[in-house]
Amino acid sequence: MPFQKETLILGSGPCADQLVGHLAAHGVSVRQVTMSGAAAVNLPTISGGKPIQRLDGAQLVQCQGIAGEFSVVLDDGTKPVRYKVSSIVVVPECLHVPNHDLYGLNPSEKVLALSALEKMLQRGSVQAIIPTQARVVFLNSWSIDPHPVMAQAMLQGCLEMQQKLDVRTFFLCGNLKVSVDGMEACYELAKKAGTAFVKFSDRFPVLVPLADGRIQIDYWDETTRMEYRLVADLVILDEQIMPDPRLADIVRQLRLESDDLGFAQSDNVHRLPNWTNRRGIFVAGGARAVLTEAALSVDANQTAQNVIAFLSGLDRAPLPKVEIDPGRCARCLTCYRLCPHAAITMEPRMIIHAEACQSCGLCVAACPNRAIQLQDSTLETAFNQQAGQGAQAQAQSSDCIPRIALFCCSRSAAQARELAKSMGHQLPASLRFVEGVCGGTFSVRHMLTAIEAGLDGILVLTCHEGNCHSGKGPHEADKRVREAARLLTGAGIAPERLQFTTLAANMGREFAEVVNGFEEKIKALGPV
Amino acid sequence: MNLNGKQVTILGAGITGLEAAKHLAVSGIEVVMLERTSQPGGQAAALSCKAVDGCVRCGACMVQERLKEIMRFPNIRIISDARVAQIARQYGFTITCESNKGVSTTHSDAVLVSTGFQAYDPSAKPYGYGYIPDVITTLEAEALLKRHGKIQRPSNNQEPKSIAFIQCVGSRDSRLNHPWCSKICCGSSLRMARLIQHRQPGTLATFFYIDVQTFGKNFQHYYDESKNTIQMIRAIPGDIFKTSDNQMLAAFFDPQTQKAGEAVFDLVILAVGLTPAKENVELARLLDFPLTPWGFWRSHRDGATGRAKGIFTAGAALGPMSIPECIDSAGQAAWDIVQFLGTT
Repeated sequence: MPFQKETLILGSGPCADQLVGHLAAHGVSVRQVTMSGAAAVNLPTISGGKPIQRLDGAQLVQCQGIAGEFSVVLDDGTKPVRYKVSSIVVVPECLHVPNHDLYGLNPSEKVLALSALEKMLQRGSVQAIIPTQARVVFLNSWSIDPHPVMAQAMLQGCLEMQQKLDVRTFFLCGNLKVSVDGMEACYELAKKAGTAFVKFSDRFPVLVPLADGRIQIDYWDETTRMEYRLVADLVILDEQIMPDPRLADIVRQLRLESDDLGFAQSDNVHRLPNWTNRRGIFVAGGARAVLTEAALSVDANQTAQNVIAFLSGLDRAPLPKVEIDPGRCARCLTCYRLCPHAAITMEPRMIIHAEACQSCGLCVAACPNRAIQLQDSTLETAFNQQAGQGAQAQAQSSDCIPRIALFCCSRSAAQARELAKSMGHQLPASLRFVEGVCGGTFSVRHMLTAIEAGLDGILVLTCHEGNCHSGKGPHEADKRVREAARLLTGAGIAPERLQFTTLAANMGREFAEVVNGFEEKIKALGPV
Repeated sequence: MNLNGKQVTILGAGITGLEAAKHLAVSGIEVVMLERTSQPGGQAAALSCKAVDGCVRCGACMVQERLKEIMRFPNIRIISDARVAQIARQYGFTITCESNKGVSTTHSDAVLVSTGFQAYDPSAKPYGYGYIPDVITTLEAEALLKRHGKIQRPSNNQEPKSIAFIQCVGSRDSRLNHPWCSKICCGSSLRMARLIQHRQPGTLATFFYIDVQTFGKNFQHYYDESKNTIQMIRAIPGDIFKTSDNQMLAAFFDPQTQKAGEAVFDLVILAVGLTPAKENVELARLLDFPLTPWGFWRSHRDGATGRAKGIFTAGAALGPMSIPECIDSAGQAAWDIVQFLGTT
């Protein structure tokens, strides 16, 4: 079954091209923007699939709309053109920057970056620039750790030179990175072939360029505890592998989360492998991490699979709807700014798009006018029964049994609770339990109403910072607990009656510990 | 691609099998998962969360997530306590499996092997494992953390004041013919050390290593911070003895002083490597599928033709893999299975 709308691919290179080929073969119309002036290499050849529209060197200058109905503007330098696409995959290649600055060495015929060496090895032109019996020294970072993918490439280059050419190779590093398939075996081979490995922990070598351009390396060897001097006929520098700098602009245009290194995927395990904070927008290859050549190919396959699942509407289970009451909405844009999934647009009414919404409820809890409703009534029902008005009718609180409500995130604390129960942990008898999709669902109103209804303490439990499906859940929940506690203090009620704690889904024992500890605290405080 | 009616049997319901099952179920394939133990989740389900102030990206929670996610697919069925007794090959695979619910037979068009790894048994190493009670493996330390939330010495149930973490036990070992890095141990040991120091302040942690391997995107930051509270010694102890006051004495060659060094600890945690599961041999025989010289499964991509057609392999059954790598590997295998079923 062919898919009606186009999928936009931003990027080129082996991963992007393999992905494009797979999608086209499965009946997905693809528009590929290669991000560079030059045509992409390794063009996939498709038989019987959908044609691929290609735009070389164009830039994404705008993106509006939501999953299934994105409207993007691409500018190839001649004129901006608007396209409708159903999904977007960001897949640029990483950038390799030689570490000249790190070692204080200038590029020359005797100081080559690894990429340059790889090209020369392919052409067989290395012999021309080195004497026989040349000393070739590979520098693989000691003061900062190299990426294992770079270490792999360095080690492979070193092994090839040692085995095929009449040279003596030296491999200088800090931690030798062998956590890539086959690398320990490659290291063993290189040692057997004659490569000398020198590792540094805290005393680092001194590199001095000589008049003839060779590099003199003075170092202290930790194993023999002796000073050595090595004059290199050829030095091979490793490279920093970093995200394409143009990714920053794409991240901004697409309103994506990014990580500390600049990749277009936050460092959150729940986004693995190809998901982003926005449904219908995927990241692959160099957009999400530094990957080995083998891993890039794997990523192209699984991304194709994930895109097709999305286009078929099978990427997720049905979720409760969230809707804005236009009568109450003051268009203050609080929800628009807060939504981690960019599911809210102004046209000119504020609209929450079900296709993009993940039902986390952050906007519901934050709306100052209570104009947003989660159509799933289970949260409000549970709240009313357990902590709201319904709770009032129940037994009076007594000195010995405090009435405590737990506000739990469904993905972490609620599962930890199940685990605690299955592990046989004792939990307070008078616990009331309210579960929300995300910890960010619970509002200041929820907390104050519960205290007003006669509860003695409220424990808000979310996942750990950096582990939230909505990105900002723990942060928002913490903020609201503080705000509610401030209001309680103003009313003469101890702010300790509200507590915010983070837990993971597999922390059953810790769940019991936190809850029992909280009960002790509330017991000590006595009834409100 | 309409694959309704196609059937796939997945051997092993760990993180890899669960992820693959999800992908296959999306394509409309009937999935039967055979799990050797009493519960799905695999070895990652036994790991504890390593969060200190925030998430440290150990990935242990991802198993729970996958277990919850596959519940929405009626076309995934899990049989626990299952043992593959027989596999007949004619128009696909007819798999006879024994479980405590009796003997059942399933027919499938393809088989995915995602049986995972086996942790190295360090009894043969000179670390006293098996007869010094306070020498334990990382997996046993995980179990202690899961049960008590804290680390205790098995000999007297007291909290240790000093812990040695010894890396590469059964990995990167040419004498054992284990020429591989197990990839996950540096990360899991350092995260564990910091979790223990967080929960049991004042605990001294010493990390014995060959090379610290990168884990996670934010490795450099995490590693630099770890060095502030954890003593790093670039050496692997040769021997461990029990002293008269019930401590462990580790003897090693100290590269800094160039002399034989000694240090005593209350607890020793061995970072045991990932090795092939011993069941691989029998299962490979039943499937008539080749293993590597070390006993891991070969990738189905390395020329799976002839008898091997229709058999796919993924995850740590192929060799050491982190949880994120297992997820990628599962995605790859599921993709290949879908392509295979679409053309047969």
